[in-house]
Amino acid sequence: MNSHRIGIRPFANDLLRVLIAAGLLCCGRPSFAQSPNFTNDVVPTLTRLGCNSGGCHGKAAGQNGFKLSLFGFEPEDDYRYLKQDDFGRRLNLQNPEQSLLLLKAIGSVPHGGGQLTHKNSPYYTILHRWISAGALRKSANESPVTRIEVQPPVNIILRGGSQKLVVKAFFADGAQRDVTHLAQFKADPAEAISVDAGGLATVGEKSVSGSIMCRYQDQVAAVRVLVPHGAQVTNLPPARGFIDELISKQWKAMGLPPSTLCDDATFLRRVTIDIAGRTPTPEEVEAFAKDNAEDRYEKLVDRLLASEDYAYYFANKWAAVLRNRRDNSNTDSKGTVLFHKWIVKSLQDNVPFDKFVREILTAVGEEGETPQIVWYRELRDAPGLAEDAAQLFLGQKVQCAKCHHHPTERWSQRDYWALTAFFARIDVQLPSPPKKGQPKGPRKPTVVFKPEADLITHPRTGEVLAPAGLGAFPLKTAESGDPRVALADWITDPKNPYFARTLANRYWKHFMGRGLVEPEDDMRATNPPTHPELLDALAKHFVDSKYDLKALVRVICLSSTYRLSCEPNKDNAHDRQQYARFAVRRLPAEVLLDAINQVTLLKPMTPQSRTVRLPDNQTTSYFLKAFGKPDGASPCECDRSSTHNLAQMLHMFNSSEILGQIGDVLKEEPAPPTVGGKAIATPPAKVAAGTRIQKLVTDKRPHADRIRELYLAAFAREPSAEEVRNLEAHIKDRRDDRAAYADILWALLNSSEFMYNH
Amino acid sequence: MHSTEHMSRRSLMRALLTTAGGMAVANWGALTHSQTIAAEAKRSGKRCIMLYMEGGVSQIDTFDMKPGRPTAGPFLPIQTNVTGVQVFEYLPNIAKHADKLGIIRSMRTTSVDHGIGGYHMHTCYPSSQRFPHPEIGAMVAKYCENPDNDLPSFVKIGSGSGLYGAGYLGPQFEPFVVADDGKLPGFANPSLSADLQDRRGDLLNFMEQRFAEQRPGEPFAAHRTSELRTLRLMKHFLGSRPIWATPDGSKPIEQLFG
Repeated sequence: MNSHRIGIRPFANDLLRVLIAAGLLCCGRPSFAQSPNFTNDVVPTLTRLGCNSGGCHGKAAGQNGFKLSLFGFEPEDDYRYLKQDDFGRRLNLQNPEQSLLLLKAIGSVPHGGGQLTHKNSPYYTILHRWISAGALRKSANESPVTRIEVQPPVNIILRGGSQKLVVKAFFADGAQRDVTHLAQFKADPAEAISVDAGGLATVGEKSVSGSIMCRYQDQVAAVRVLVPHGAQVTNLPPARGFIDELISKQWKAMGLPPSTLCDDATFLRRVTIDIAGRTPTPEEVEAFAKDNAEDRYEKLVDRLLASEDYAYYFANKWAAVLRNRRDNSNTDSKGTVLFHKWIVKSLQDNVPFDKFVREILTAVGEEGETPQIVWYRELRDAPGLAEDAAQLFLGQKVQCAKCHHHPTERWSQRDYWALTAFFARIDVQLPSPPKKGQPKGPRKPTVVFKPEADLITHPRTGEVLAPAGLGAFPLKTAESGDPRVALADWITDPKNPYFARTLANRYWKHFMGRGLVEPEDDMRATNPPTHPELLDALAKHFVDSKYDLKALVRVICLSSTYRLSCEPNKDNAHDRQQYARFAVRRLPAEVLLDAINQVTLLKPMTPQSRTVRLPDNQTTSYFLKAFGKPDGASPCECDRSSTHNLAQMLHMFNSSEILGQIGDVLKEEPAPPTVGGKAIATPPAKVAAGTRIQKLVTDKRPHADRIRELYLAAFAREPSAEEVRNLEAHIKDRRDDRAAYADILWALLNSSEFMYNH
Repeated sequence: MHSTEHMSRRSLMRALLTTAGGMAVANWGALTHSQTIAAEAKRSGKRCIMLYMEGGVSQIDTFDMKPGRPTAGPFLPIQTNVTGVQVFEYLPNIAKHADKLGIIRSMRTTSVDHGIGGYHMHTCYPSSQRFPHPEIGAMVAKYCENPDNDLPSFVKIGSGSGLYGAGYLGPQFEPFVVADDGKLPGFANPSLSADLQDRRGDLLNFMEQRFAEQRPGEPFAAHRTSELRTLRLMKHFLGSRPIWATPDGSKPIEQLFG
C-alpha cells in the first residue's frame, strides 16, 4: 500500500479535497522512521479507539479486569496496566500478533467492546510495531507534546460543502508531526456540522458559525467553521469605530446583510433599559425627541452612565453572581445589604475593574468593615472560592479538574489544586451558637489569613502544591504573606489572557443579547468566539482604558451595531450569531415589574422603591420569581431565566396582582378548594388616588392626549394616528371611561412592544 | 367549538401529557425518532406519564442487585413474581408486581454528572450549550398534541429540579408547571368575564398586529402563538377547583396514594 504522506495542505477545491481525503482514509498508514513510542503514539491510539473512555476501561474500576487511565491522561499508569498487570498477559513480545491487546481490538477473541479496528488499519500497525519493538516505555525519539495546532484556523465552507482539517503537534525537542490520524474531533453544533475520524468536516444547508474541537493527548485546540448565508451585503450602517468595522467584516464574509438603524425613540428605550435598568420617563422621551444635536446619543449614554440607576442595575447583575444572598432565616441580611452597598458604590465611582476584583480576592476582616467577606461567607472553602474566582473573572470552569483532567479542557488536576492553594490559608469563620467547652466563635462572619495553615496537596500524588495561576508558574513556596495578593496580581495583569476578555464578553452579552463566546463564562480553548478579532479588540480597549467599565459600556452602546433595528430583512430573520439585527429579549424580572409600576402608578414610584434596587435574592414577590429573578446561588448568569412561559402569561393576563394594578376591582379570593376568585370588573365609585387609572379617569383633556401620555409611559413613543383613532373608538364604544382605560392598560402591559427590549 | 366542561383534575389529566414515567418511557422512546409511531400514538389518543425520581436509592440496592459481586450493597435480594427478576429485600410489595414492570438494567451514559446526566435523561441528548434540546414531555407534546385543544399539552408537577423545557421547540411546548400540592398558581383562576376577555383580547390583537406581526421571526412569533393560546385556555378551561381534588372533591388526592 502506498502512503500519501500526511502533510497535505488544506485545499480550496472541493472535489480535489474530497479525493485526497478519501485517499487518506484508505491509505493513510503512518510511517515511522523509528518504532512508535508509548506516550505519543500508543496511548493516543487507545484513546482514538475509545479503549480508555469513561464507559469502558477508563472508568475507575476498569472493565472486566482491564483498566486504563481515563482518556489516557496518565501514561505512566497505562504502561503498568498494559505491560505488567496480570503477569503481562496482554502483550506477547515473541509473537506480537498473538497479543491479547491486538486480538481483542480486531475482535479475533470475544471482546465486550466489539471489533474496534482491523489488521490493515494504521491503529493496528502502531500497536503491532510498538509490541514488535519490545513494548518499551520510553524510546529514543520521545519528547513530550507541548501544543497542537489545527489547520486551517478559519474554515469558510459553503453550504453542503466540506473541508479537510490537519492537526499538527509540536514537541518539546522542537519536532513537529502530523497527528491527524491520532487526534479526536468534535463539532459544535453537531446539528449543523459533522466531522469524521479523519478530520473531514462537512456542513449542512444551514448558515451557521460553529467550531470543531480537536484533542491529542492532553492538548486541545479548536478551529472555527463559518457557513455563509451568501446574500449580497450592501448598505452597511455607518462604521462608528472598531466594533462596527469588525462586525461588518464578518457580515460580508457570511453574506448576511444587517437591518437598518432603529429610530431614536427605540434607541432611547433600549439604551435606558440596558444601562439604567428602567424604561424612560415620558419627560425623557419628549426631551430626546426634541434633541437634534449631533452628539445626542453620546450625551444620552453619558447621562445614563452617570446616574445612580446605572450603578444599581449593574450591582443587581454583579450581586447575583457574587452570591450576595441571604438564607431563609434572614440572620445574614446585614452582610448582604452592606455588600450590595459596596458594589453599588464601586460601580457608581467607576472603580477600575481590576481594583474591584482585587478588593474581593484579597478581603480579610469581618463583614461589617469588609463586606466583600460575604462572598467568602457563601463559598466557605478553598475549592469553592477557586472555582468561582476562575468562572467569574477568567471564564474558566475548572470544577471537572477537581477529580480528573476533563477531555475538552486544558486544566489538569494539578492546575486545579494549585489554583485552590491560593485560598488554602484562608479561614472563613462563621458565627455559631455558643457551646460549652468550645471557644467562642466570631460575632460576625470573618475571614482570617492563617500563615501557619497547611498548604494544599495533590490528592493523587500527595505532593505539596505551591499556588499557581492557570497555566502560570507557581509561586515560590518560601514566600510568606497572603498568596491571594499574587493571585490578584496574576488575574488582573494586562497580559492575563482571560481576565479582560471575560469581562468584555460578559458586558457585550449584556447589551447584544449574546456573547461572542457563549455561554459567556465558558472561555475555554475549545469554545472559540464567533468574532475572535472583536473580542481581542474589546479586551484591548478595556485594558487600555485601565479597566474602565463605563468606557466599555460607552463604546458598545454608541456602535451602529447596537443601534440596529430588530426588524429583520429578508436574509437575517434567522440570524442569532452575527448581530445582523438587534437581539430582542424580554425585560428582566425586576425591570419588567418596575416598568409595570411606572405605567400603573399603583405605588408612588421613587428610585428607592424600584425592585432593581433590591440588595439580594430576598423577595416575597411571586412575580419576580415567575419571571426569573436569580437566587444568587451560582456564579453563572444563567441562573437568571429569561424565557417566557404559560405561567408568566397567565400571571400577566389574569392575576389579581396585575388586574388590581390596572384598576380592576376584584372580589376577595375565597380559599380553595371551594370557589376561586370570581370575576368582576364593575366600575367602583372611586379609584385609588394617584394611580394611573385615577389620573386617566379624572383627566379633563381629550382622550387623544390621555392616550398619548399612556403611550409615552408604556412604549416610550408617540402613538400613531391610527392607534389613537382605534383606542378612541374603544372608549366610545365602552361608554365607561374607567372600564375602557383598564382594558387599554391591560392590553398595553401585555403587548410584546412593552414586555420586550427591542 | 370548545368544550366548556368544568375542569377537574381528571379532565385536565385526561387531556394532557405529563412528563413521562420511568416505566412507560420504554414504550415511548421510539416516538422521538419515528413520526409514524407518533402519528399512531396520536390517532389512538395515547398519553404519557413520566415519574422522575431524582436522587434516591442506588440501583444496586433496588432493582439491579449484584448478589455475590464486589459491587453488591449490604442488602439482600428477594425473588419477585417473575422468574429471574430479583429486587431489594425491602420492596416486598413491588416484588408482587414485577410482571408489570419493565426494568432497564442496561442503561449506560457518557454524561457522568448530575446536571448533565439529568439533561441527558430528560432530553435524550448530551448537554449542549449552543443547542437546547427539548425534554421528552415537550417532544411528546409536539408530535401528539391536539392543536384544537387549548389545555396545555405538557404539564409538569413540582417546580423543583429537572426542568429542561421545550428547548428549540419554543414556548409553545414549554411545560405548564403546577405546584407540588397540585394547586394551580393564583393567576390561573379566571378573574374576568368571558365578554371582557374578548374585548381585551381584541385590543391586544390590535397592538400586536401593529408591532409583533411586523417583526416576523423569533421571539415575537412564538410569543404571539402562546399569547393566543393562553387567551383561549383562560376562556374555556381554567376552572376554580384545584386540580388535585378527587372527583367528588372530598379528600385530598395524595391520600389515595397512602
